[in-house]
Amino acid sequence: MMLETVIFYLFASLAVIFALVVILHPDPVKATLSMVITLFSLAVIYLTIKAPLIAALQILLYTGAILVLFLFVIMLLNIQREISLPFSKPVQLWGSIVSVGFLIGIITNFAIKIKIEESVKNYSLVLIAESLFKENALSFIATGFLLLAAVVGATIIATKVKRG
Amino acid sequence: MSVVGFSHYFFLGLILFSIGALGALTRRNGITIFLSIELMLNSVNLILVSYASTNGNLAGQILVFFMFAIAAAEAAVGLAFFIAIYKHRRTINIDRLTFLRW
Repeated sequence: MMLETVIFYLFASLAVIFALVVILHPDPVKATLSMVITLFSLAVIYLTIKAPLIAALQILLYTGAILVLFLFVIMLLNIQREISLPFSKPVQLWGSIVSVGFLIGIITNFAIKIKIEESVKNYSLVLIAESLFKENALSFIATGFLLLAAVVGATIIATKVKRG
Repeated sequence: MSVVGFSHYFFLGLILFSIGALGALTRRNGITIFLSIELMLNSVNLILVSYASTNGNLAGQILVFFMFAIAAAEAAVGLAFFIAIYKHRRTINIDRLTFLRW
C-alpha cells in the first residue's frame, strides 16, 4: 500500500516537471518529447487507479499517433526556436496572471469541499466493452463518422491551397 | 481507489490544466500552443478517470475513450491548418498571423 503512494508522487512530479518543460522550452521538438514523458507518467497513474484500458490507449493513441503527428509537422515545417523573450509582451503577462489566478481560485473554492466515499472495484475489459457497444453504441458510430470527417477535412485543408 | 485519495488526482489535474493554460496563453509558436491545449485535455482526462474509479462507475472511462477519438481528430485537422497557413505565410508565429484582424 505504501508503494502506490510512492509511485503516485514520483510520476505526478515527473508529469508536472516535464509539463513545465513543454511550455517553457524554446525548441518545439524538445517540447514535444517532454510531452511524451508527461503522457507516459499519466499512463502509469491511470494504471494505479484501475484504468488499464485508458492507460494502454494513452500510450498507443497519444504518444504513438498524435505526438508523432506533431513531430512530423514540426520537422516538415522546419520551425525555428522562439526568439521573443517569455514575458516581453503584455499579452503574455496577462495570460500568465489569468492562468495562475485560475489555479488559485479553483483551489480555494473547490478543493476544501471534496469528500467522496471511495469504493474499490476492478474494471474488466468486458464491462467497458459492454458499456461501449450496448449503451453507447450510437456515440461509437458517431465517433467513427467524426474521424472520417476529420480525415477528409484534413486532406482537403492541407492540399488544396492556392498560392497568392 | 488507493491510499492516495481523490483530491490528490484532482490537484494533479488542476496543476497540469493551469500549466497548459499558461502555455496556451503565453507562447507565440502555434505548435506549442496546440501542445498546451493537448496538455489541458489530458488533465481533464485524468480528473474524469480518477472520479470514475472513485465513484465505482464506468461513465468517466467511456467519456475519456471518446475524448481520445476527438483529440485525434482535432490534432489531424489542426495540424492540417498549420500546414496550410505555413504554405501561405511561411510562418506559424501567431504574432505575424494577423490577416483576420482589422
